[in-house]
Amino acid sequence: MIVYLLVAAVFFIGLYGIVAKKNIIKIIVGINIVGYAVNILFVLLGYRWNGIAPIITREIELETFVASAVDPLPQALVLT
Amino acid sequence: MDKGMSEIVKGVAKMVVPFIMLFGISLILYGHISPGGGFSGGVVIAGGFVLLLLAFGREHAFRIFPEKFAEKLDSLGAVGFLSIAVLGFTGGHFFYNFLDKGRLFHLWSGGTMIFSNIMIGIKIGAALFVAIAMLSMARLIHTKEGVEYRRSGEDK
Amino acid sequence: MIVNMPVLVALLVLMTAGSVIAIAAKSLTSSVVAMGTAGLILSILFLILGAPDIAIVQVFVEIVALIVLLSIISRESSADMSSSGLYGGIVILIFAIFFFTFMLHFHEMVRPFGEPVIDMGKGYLMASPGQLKGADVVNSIILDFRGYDTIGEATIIFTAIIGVLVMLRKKGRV
Repeated sequence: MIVYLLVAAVFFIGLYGIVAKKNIIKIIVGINIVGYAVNILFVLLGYRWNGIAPIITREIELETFVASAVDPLPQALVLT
Repeated sequence: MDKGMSEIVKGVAKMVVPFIMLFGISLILYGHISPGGGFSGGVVIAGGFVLLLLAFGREHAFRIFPEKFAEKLDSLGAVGFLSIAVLGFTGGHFFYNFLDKGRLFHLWSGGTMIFSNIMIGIKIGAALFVAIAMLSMARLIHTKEGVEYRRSGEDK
Repeated sequence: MIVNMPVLVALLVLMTAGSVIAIAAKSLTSSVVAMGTAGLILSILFLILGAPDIAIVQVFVEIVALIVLLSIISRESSADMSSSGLYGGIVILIFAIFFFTFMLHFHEMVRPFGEPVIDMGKGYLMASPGQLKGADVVNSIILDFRGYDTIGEATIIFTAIIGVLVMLRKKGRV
């Protein structure tokens, strides 16, 4: 819960930088920071406690892999 | 980015750039087995080209890899990826995976995924290099009518 | 690395601090460097949350963006855009207060953090080693199960590069 609040704080800091600053370099930095907040929110929505990355290796079975992997769909939406 | 940097930087860049390219190609080719894929490998290859551009200056880097050739590589990557998708019509519908699926954990697995990775890697690498090369050549000139962009090296 | 709640909160607080410094700093070089630090902390966060593909892309894109921004700063005097600064800041503060009171009820609308809705993801996690025989599930999602979105992604990058080339022609005037 506090994780989502911190991500919203980063989003609003970036949005303040876009709207209220006059220098164009600061506006570009604000656009980048808004992008960071959106990307991290997507990946945080699909996280599972003590989850492993969704890449299957030789020494793991299929059932334990499906039961303990992180959701791969938000990562495919974020990839650039 | 007009002229290069000192001799130490040039010597180190000459030794390091082949390894960066090799790492990028390995990320592209083994994208369906280990973390990586087309986007990661393309960005790494573009990073290697940016190192060449920064260490050797603009004229020398464009003699090694001219930007007109990079624009053509960009279009080639896009057309190649679309042609793989259109060739799926031979299997039934658009973007059908029509090749043999191979065995798990081997290099030939996943059907058309390896060719799509190669095309996307070429496209992303060339596109990012074109963007950096164009931005390094532009100058913001204030003329009487206002603000204009010119390429440096051409007269007003 | 052990991933529990204090580690995540600490890294996110570091990223917030980095972005505050990036917006509020007086010198442009320090604000760009703070943005670079926030980007690299983001890459560490991607790695410990189980997304190694995105971590590699984020590191290299961050380095290239830093190079471009630093070369712009060192070359010419930055142009000033006239915009009303104070009123925009007040509007953003009011909007942020409303949004935070909404966010206090956010945890009733989504699943609690750490137990995701994974119904579609389970289908992909089972079909990718079984039917498609590809070991990297994220790569097989973006190239085979949802390949149409990747065509759109390639088109967007192509259009952006053509836009850059058009703007910087010999007598470029957009």
